[in-house]
Amino acid sequence: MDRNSRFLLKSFRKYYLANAPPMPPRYGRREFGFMFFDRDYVQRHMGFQTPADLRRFMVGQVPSHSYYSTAYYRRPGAPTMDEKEWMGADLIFDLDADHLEGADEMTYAGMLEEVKKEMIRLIDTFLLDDLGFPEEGIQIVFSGGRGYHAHVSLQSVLGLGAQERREIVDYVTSTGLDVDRLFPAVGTANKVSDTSDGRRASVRFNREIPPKNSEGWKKRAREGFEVLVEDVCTLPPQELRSKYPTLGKKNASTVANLSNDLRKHRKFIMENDRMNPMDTFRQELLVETMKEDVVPRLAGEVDEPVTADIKRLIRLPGSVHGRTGLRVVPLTRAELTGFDPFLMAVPEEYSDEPVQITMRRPYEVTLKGERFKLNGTVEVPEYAAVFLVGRREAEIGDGSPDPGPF
Amino acid sequence: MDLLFAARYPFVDSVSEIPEISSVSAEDVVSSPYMEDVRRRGLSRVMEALESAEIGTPSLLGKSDRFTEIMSYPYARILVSCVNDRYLTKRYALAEASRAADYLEEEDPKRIDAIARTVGAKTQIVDGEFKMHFADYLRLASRIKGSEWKLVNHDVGKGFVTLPKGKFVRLLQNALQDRIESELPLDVPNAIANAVRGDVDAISYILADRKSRFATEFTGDLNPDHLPPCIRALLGGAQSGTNLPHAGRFALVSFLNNIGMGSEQILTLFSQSPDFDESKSIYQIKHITGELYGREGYTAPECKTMKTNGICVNEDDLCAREKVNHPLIYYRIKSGTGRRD
Repeated sequence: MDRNSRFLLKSFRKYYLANAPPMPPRYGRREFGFMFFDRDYVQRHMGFQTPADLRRFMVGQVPSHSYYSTAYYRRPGAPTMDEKEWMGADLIFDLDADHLEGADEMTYAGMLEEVKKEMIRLIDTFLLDDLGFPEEGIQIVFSGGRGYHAHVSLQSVLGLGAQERREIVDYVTSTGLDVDRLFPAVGTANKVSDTSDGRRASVRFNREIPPKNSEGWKKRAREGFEVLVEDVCTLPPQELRSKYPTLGKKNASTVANLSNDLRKHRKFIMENDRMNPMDTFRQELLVETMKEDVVPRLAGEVDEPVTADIKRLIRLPGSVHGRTGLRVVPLTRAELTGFDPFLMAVPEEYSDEPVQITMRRPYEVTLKGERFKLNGTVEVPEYAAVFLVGRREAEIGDGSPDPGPF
Repeated sequence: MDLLFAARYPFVDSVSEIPEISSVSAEDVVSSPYMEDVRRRGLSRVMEALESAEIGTPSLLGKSDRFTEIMSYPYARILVSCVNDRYLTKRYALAEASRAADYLEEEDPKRIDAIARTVGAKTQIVDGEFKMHFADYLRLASRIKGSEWKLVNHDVGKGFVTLPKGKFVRLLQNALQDRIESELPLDVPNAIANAVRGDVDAISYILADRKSRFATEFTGDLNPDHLPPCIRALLGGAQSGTNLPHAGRFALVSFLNNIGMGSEQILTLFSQSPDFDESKSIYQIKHITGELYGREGYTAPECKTMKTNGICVNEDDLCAREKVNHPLIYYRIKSGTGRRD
């Protein structure tokens, strides 16, 4: 163990002496797993039958990373998956910064803020509205690292298999969504004419739009369509074409004509939920824009492998994260809105006592409301040192070689 | 409950509360001379299920027709229980559920709701709109393939999926099948088992004949230990009579063909499936192996595709190796055969 690990271990132990992680629901059926500062393997297949057992373990062993299984097992401590006997698993939604576009250019704090926004949308739109989970049935967790998790432990979802959970992911991310079902083309007889072999009706197909009181994807498509219509009617051409690449690919005159036509018929279309007054080409252009540009923006984000995995280990709420020293914080939906990890996930047990560290590179961060702009060998409060050493931004000491333990 | 409803859905618990039904003992059913029609219909329920996975719907006009239809159900279950064969049980449950679904299609919403409640699915039928809780929907729909069954292509709100009547009934059919299958085999007393021996032997004979038709041995050197875990799981599923998803069948057939098995040999593996239809299966297999058009067959899907389709399971150390990105590579390494191309 080097001096960085020794330092983190000491701070983590102070945390665990004061805070035993709360036991997850049905903990007696869960497997626990841990990583340590002085061992390079994951210790798995552990079961804890009482909260006191877990507390003793945390204080005695001081793991660097702590996990528990989303699954319930008949024998959680058994060494192989077959012997454990799977009984069911929580439904997990995981969002972290890895998938964010342009994450490389964001600060750690900026990334977490973005992920939080997406988590709020995922919960409000998909988990509460569509899937209808009661708010108290969703446990939200700040992971201590790069994102947030939502755990659903309701009886109705515990038995879902991997394939069924993947269907939920596809629902949220709009994978396989048939946009033509949302804007169906309905044929109506247009004009009846007499020909040499009898009467013929020419059929014209008109696109319908999802009505106002829709739910699920129809509701989102309706709202997205309303915005599209507003934009097509009011945005300056340049802006419109760059906001919707599908329109950007068309001639300027095509888009201008679409705008004129839509301004004329907008009221009828939105009131009657069908695009009849416009010609077919323009109807199709709007639907294509919905497909290509609008629907993808309405989709939710979620990490597929995590949700589909029915035997996964996930971070233990109430533990501390070995790479940041931050607490893995359980949150309600109301708490999530105002949650600031750099204020609220820094454990109180890390003191204000100065600790000498040497930065590996210049770094800026705001912790507990205090702004740190750091370079070279500096003294910072213990709580900041834990974060910086955990993140590998700094090392304990003045930069001279590690003398090793006494 | 009226007799007609009970005749259509004899598995509903409250059927046994009808006085005409509850007064009949199992001994009567298996041995009374007045119950001959009941026994004949009961045997035909099982035989039809075995031969075509369907059970016909007889006339239910008269009271005695209805009585026969109701009582033949417990008799059929006694027969299936006595034979106690996994394949027969699955196929029988499938046929009974599909028979009930044929009736359900024509029922009004109130009656459909009554049946939905008996299978424990969380449903709501309001103003002619059929709704099912999404978790029940997923449990029952995930075995049916096709984009029109994806959850994302349904209206979902407040936890419930709105469904057209046809789809709703199709899902109930799956739920009924699960329920009927889970109740079998019954614990049949010896005296009853002895009394039905004749019918049980008749079924066993047809069953054995049906199985032997497909039981030609694979004579090639297929060593299950050489198969990658995904293929082993699919093969196990096919042999134990589990319905494989389309992607699973495709992967299994193309893989087995790629390592040298012929269409007929592959067919024997599928003959255990409860909805096995020989002519349809051989067509599908020959389509994949290319035999149908006299050309090269399809190559088995790579690991990435298997993952996307959700049939990559039990990954082991060999799967985890970087160059093992295809089930066939796994097989070639394990079996020590070189690359074909």
